[in-house]
Amino acid sequence: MSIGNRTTDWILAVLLIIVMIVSGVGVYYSSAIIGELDELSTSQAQDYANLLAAITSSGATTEDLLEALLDAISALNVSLPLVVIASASPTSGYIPLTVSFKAVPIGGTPPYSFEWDFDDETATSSERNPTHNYTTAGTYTTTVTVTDSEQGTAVDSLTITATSAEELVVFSLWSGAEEQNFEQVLDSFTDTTGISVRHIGYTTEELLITVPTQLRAGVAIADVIIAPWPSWILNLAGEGYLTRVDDLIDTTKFPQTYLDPVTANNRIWATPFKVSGKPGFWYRKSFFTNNSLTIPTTYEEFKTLLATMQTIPGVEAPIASGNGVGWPLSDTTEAFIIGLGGYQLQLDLIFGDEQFNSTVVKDVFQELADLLQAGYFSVPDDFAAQVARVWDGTYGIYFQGSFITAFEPFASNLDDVGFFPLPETTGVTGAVDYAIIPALTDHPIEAGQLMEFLASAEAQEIMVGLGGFLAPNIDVPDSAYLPLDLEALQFMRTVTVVPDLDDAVGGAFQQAFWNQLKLLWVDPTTDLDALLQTLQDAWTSPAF
Amino acid sequence: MSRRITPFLFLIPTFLLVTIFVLFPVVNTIYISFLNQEGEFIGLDNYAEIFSRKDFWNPQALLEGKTHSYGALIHNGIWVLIHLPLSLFFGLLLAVLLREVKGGAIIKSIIFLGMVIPLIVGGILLRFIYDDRAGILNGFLRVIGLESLARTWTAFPHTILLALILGSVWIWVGFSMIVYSAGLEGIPVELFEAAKIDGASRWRTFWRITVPMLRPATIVIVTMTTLWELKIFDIVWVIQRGGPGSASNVMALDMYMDAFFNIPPNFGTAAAIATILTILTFGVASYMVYQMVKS
Repeated sequence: MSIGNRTTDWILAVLLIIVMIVSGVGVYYSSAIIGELDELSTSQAQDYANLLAAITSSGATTEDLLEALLDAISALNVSLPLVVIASASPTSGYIPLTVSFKAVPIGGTPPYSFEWDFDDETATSSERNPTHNYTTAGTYTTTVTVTDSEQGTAVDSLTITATSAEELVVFSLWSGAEEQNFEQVLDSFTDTTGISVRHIGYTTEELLITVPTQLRAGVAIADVIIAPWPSWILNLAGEGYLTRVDDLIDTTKFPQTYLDPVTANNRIWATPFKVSGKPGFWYRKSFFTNNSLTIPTTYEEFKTLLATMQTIPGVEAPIASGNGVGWPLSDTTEAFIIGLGGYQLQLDLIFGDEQFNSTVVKDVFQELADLLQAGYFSVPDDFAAQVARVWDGTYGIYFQGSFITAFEPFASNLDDVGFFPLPETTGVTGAVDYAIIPALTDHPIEAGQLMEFLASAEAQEIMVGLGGFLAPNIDVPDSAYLPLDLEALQFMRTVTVVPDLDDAVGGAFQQAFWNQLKLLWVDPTTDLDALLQTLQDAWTSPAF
Repeated sequence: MSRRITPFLFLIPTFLLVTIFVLFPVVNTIYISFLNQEGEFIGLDNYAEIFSRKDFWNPQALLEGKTHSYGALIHNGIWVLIHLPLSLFFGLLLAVLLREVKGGAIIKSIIFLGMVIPLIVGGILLRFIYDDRAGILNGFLRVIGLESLARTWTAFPHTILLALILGSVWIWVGFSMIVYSAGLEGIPVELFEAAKIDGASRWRTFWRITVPMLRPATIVIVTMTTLWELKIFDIVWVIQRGGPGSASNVMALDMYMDAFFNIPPNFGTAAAIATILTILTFGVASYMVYQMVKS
């Protein structure tokens, strides 16, 4: 074989390569610009297929090819507009997720500069092929911006999904429909962030006892806990078991009255997630209409209404009394404390500025005892079962929180359900469910993300949209509420919302309060002085 | 030498386990009962404090009869006074009667179900039994014309303690019945035959042979039942949590409230109540063990 022949072979080979590259670049680049391969002409597609076959047999990657094309284009001095193609590997996985990025610029005028934005609030990179470590679960849009020597720019982006290997655990007191509603909120969080969340519904005792025991043992099984007891929360915070949430929530979005009970030493330890308003007495509208009853506007009219209802055939008692562990009775009692003694009396009792055995409190309890003695209240029975008895006319009205509209048969007949406040009241109880983060959580960042989400109007809108609850976040629009809830909310805006007395003081006082009210309800002639002294002895200064 | 040591070597694992899981907690509980919430030594102050509480110790109410909240300690005492004899009586009665009834074993199994179900479930069942609307007791009262007595028995301070005690007899009687049944099987038939030949009546045979021969079984039942009554908690908690007022409060409930419901928790007073419970149960158990050994 002569040298000349060899040279000819080389020239032919190079020419062939150039022809292939030019045709390949033409096809591929067209597709990159147009973005749709199926728009290629038949001949172009055939060329492209031939090119791909050649690439496949060579073992080269797409990136290799593109780089080769880029070099070839440069050698041919072909002028093309600047485009960048970004790629990443892997594009999803568990955190900590290390991702290798590549940027392939085409066209424009070299040299190029690169700017990567990883979408996770960490430093950007100016490398062409950087590596980035995602430590927080979430869905990220990573963007690369390429700038050529003539200040032309091109942008491409990628979606990276970093998932938490271990799911977050949330404890709350919710079960049944309430739990299902809450899980919709958690699902929304998972959809947004890629962080899975497992909800565990606890009973009151389990939450009250299990969580402090776990934390004192140095274990935080839950990453976020939702509980309605401010004193309990601040006590845990005082022992150093909670993470402050000031930095996670926008405090201007919440009424101060909801934040004060969970604030200590100018630090906020919990996020208000939802509110159970206790606006007044619920009733069946048609029962009132059929019996020509009218909504009372004064306390005297209220007592007249009770007396009238007592005479209606089939009515066992005008007011249904709920039982459970005792809270239905305490809610009712607090309505009378606020209604007859003013909302300030409720606050004074919580903070210890008024004694339970004072004359003003005794007057309220005496009035309540008189109503009980008059037979205006039923014997306490299961609080949920009483809803049906109000519905069938066994009882006339029922003091409950707005959540009662989620119970049947109210839930299926909301058009026939109404409420009215205790006439002349100046305040109303709003029991807030707070979210807290244990300091010992293994997932502080993800728990913080969940906390931010729960505090958001978006999450609270989902919850109130399901009915029975009010949102503490002021950005939740009125349109998010069901009509009856909105009615309750609008009433609550006209009065002062105060904390729930027994939830706020909490602890053994709560149990004593419930037990003493159970006694008063079945034995209204009981020694009120002794009863109130028992409450005073059980009261402990709330932690806030 | 080694033969004398070897048995003790075998005892070491047991001794270690008992020390770690029984002795240490007991000693530590007694120690904690002398500390305040800050962990400072305060002598017997915790004991003085709990005896000053009316919901723990209120003998005056018992004497005056104004309220039905006599205090947890007295309520536990009432529990023992009523529940123990009834459990013994009905347990023995059922054991004797069902011994001679065809299908007695099946009936015994049904009665013993009360012992098998968790006490929390038993408590919930009792709540239903005593319910004014859904309860079988009130249904029965209405059928026999005593509608005026129908009420939710666990809602009222003057009826709740008795309702709980009687309800717990239903739950516990299966235990005494089974122990007595086993005891009856152990009495030699020759004794009854000899009594019959001697012309003894069934009543006399029962008192002179059956009852004395059941003494070991009785000691076991009295011991176990008394311990159960002193530490009773589940039924009381699930039905009214010691209420209404403090009418159904018991010591174990008080201990639970102090340790876990108080904010901050008061482990000192809870440990003091636990110590009192331990002393009472230890006293009962020691006496009964002594009786068993003697017999």
